[in-house]
Amino acid sequence: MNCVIFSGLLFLSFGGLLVPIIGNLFKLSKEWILNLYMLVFLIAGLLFVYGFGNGHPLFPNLFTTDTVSLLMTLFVWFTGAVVLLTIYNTLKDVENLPEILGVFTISLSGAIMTLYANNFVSLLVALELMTIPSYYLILARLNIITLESATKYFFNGALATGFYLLGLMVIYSIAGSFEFSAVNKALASADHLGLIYFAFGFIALLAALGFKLSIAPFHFYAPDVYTGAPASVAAYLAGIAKSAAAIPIIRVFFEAFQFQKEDWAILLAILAVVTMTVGNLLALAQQNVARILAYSSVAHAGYLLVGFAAAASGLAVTGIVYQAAAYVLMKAGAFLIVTLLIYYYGIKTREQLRGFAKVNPFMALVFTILLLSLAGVPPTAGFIAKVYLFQAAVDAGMAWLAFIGLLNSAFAVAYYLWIIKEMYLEEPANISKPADTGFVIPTAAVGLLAALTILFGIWVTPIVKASLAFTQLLPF
Amino acid sequence: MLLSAILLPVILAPFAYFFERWAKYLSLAAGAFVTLIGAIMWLKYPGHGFAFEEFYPIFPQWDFNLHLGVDALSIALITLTGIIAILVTLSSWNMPRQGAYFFLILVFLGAMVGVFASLNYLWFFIFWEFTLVPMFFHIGIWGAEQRIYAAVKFFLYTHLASIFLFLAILLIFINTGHFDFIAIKQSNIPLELQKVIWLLAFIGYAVKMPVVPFHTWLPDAHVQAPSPISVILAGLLLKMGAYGLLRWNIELFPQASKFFIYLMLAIGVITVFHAAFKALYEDHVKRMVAYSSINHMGLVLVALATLTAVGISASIYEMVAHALIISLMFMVAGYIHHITGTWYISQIGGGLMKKVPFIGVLYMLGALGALGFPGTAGFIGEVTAIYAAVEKFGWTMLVLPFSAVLTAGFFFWAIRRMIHGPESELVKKLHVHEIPWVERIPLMAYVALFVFLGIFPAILFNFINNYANTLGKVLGG
Repeated sequence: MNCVIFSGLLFLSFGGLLVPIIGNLFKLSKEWILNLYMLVFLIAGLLFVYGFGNGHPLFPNLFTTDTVSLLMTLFVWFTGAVVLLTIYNTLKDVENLPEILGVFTISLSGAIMTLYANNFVSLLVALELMTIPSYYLILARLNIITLESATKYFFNGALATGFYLLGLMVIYSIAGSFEFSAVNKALASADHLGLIYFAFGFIALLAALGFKLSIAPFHFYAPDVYTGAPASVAAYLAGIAKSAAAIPIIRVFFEAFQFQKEDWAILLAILAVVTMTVGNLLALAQQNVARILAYSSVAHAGYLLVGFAAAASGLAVTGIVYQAAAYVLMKAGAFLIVTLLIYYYGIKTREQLRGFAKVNPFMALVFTILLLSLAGVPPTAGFIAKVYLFQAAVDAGMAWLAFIGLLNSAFAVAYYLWIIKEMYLEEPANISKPADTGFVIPTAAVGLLAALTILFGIWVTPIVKASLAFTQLLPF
Repeated sequence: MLLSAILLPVILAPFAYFFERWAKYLSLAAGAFVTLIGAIMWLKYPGHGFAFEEFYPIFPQWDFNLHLGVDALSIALITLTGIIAILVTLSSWNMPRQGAYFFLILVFLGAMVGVFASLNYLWFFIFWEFTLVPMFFHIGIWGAEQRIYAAVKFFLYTHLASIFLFLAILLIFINTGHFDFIAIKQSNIPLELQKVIWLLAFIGYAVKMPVVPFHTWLPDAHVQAPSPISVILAGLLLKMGAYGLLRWNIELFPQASKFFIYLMLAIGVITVFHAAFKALYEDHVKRMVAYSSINHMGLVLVALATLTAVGISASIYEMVAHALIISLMFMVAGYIHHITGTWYISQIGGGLMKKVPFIGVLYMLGALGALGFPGTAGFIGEVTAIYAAVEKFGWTMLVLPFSAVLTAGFFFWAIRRMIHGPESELVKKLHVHEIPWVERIPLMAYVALFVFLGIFPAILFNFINNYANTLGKVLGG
């Protein structure tokens, strides 16, 4: 992490801390609070853009700076701004809105920090900075459902952290360092017993990070949490937080545990198959749109794992990075549309969506693009991500995994298509037009995310170049 | 030039959506533009190899470049695409919700030209897959009673098939490092692997063509789609399958193609007869035409299976002839439904000729074309295809003409029961809607075109001969 990026992060987190206080002191209206937050985001974003190639490196033992983290920062930052806008629009009636937005901003700075983590400790700090505020976010509207959801998320998060620390302890006892590169070096010279310790630590870490990515069998919390939380918060948890966690996991797997490439491929491949099949099959059975997306996020974690299983291929990292970048846009975007559907139209299930395209054609179009991208229909970023992931699997000699993945994604089309079918092909149910027309601006913002998914479905250069440069840094 | 033929329709599409009144004119203009580009290329084509190549690097390290280029095969099909687009637009002149309808038509048109013009396998696949999206909405929104079922089935079925093609593309890239047609052709892939790739891709193309046993989506999709969209499905979408098989399987992997020669032949012959018998059994006007369409595509596959110059040019000719003839039949079947209010021949019960002679005559002309009556393009297509098959596989292929007999059987039986004969109760009570003159133009244009091609087949044959000869030599040697 260089000093410019770091100042951008400080700007975000201190903005989240100070804006509610300023708002209270000066009795600012909610619009002004939003404007202040937007200013904070704008300045942070300018710093992030300026941070490309500028600035002195800071804390080299804790954080690194590379092309992928810089690029993903921009994705997370931009999507975060759109999520902020939607949270503001759909939680307007909540009393402590300024604090919620502040907590969100702080959590987002944690998400960005994870992208740079180069050390098991800094990764833990960043992950916790991202996760702990999100418990509060889930409870933005306090009722029995959000309470259940937040409790589930809290206990699962605590368990994951426990596993993480357990693995960390074991690894530290052998490697004597928390740095990824040092762990890698210690692994190279480890004896038989040491390798067993490392394997144990790796499995514990895999479980901990599996919780974050909602990999089967650690996925049980995901649908409940994502549907219980306010949908805009779910967009953050399922879209941004999960993708942001994928980048440090690349580092953990490819940098720290380089040895596992071939040895663990089959375990990861089986996990990938189980995860995507479970996610897709359960998603097919759902009625609730948010729940469909929640299970589809489990399935997408499975596609991501295909990349990890295919680590032997040089294309794997590109696949994972592309999937993570595309996933931020499309998953967060889709959940944000669900947020708007629930808040402005009261639509929660597939059936209630009937004929929605006639009511609000633009929102339906944006949702359709995002769903098609999730389904992997070209020309969208989701398609290119799948090309790279499955290409890596074929390249790594696991054509069967690519085939199962492709079969899965073909079946997954069914439930995405079903939503599109309800919106466009069915006769309208009684959808009442909302009195409030506040959905226009957030819909347009999500429309930008949809436009970006199409852009990155054709213009692959920035993401692939960044990830190729990143691949060369990894010790292959 | 090629890029403009892809982009112009796509760029016009949003305008069509927002200026609903002008939508059909925009679609007409885009169709005319594509036809014009096709005609210019037809006239200026140097005679061999790829011409009019355009190369737009997007990410060269990954070989993800928009490489466009055409040869005689693509030019013929792009010209056909433009012509069909014009005629479909005229047929859809009075469609409801024109903005959205022509938006989708235009987007589809761009992708379609992309399929035929792309020399990069990944871009080919992108265009190929994307054509599903507009078709899904066309069938699902403007279709008949069972439209939603048909649209979902169409999308899922063909998408599922595409994953096999996709896997084949990935295998090619992993083993050669290229998506580019010319580069793949020059690289050496082991024969065993070629066979795997060939078979995987064949599944994708066979579903699109479609051939038995992958044909079950077609009767649903075609029957439920509105007539102009049936024309697009039969006239263009099915051609994608045959084109893909020819370009990306046979041309790319001649050795593997030779290995699978009897697979193709068997599937082709089974398709021809299965579809013909199914059609014979059908009481549904449009479903009968749909099976007749499968029957013709089976013949295309038989002609391709010969892997000789004659067979390849016959298959290309048959593709064009099928597009023109079956399009007419689909439109006429749609009008019959529109006029009588029923799909079933037995319910119509005869006498349509007295009530609506225009439709009656067109149905008979279309049937003559479909069964291969001399003087129509259908005759040349079938004769050359059967000749090629007999030349290659011997006299056993003389069973093929019997499928023409079957075609004659079901179409004339339908004519006898529906068009001719005394007026039934239903037909007597009919309140005849006049077909607007704009919608009559495409119907007559189809007849004119397939009769013209039937009398002067040399126009098409001369153009594609060089391509077929070159390919035939490669496959023969």
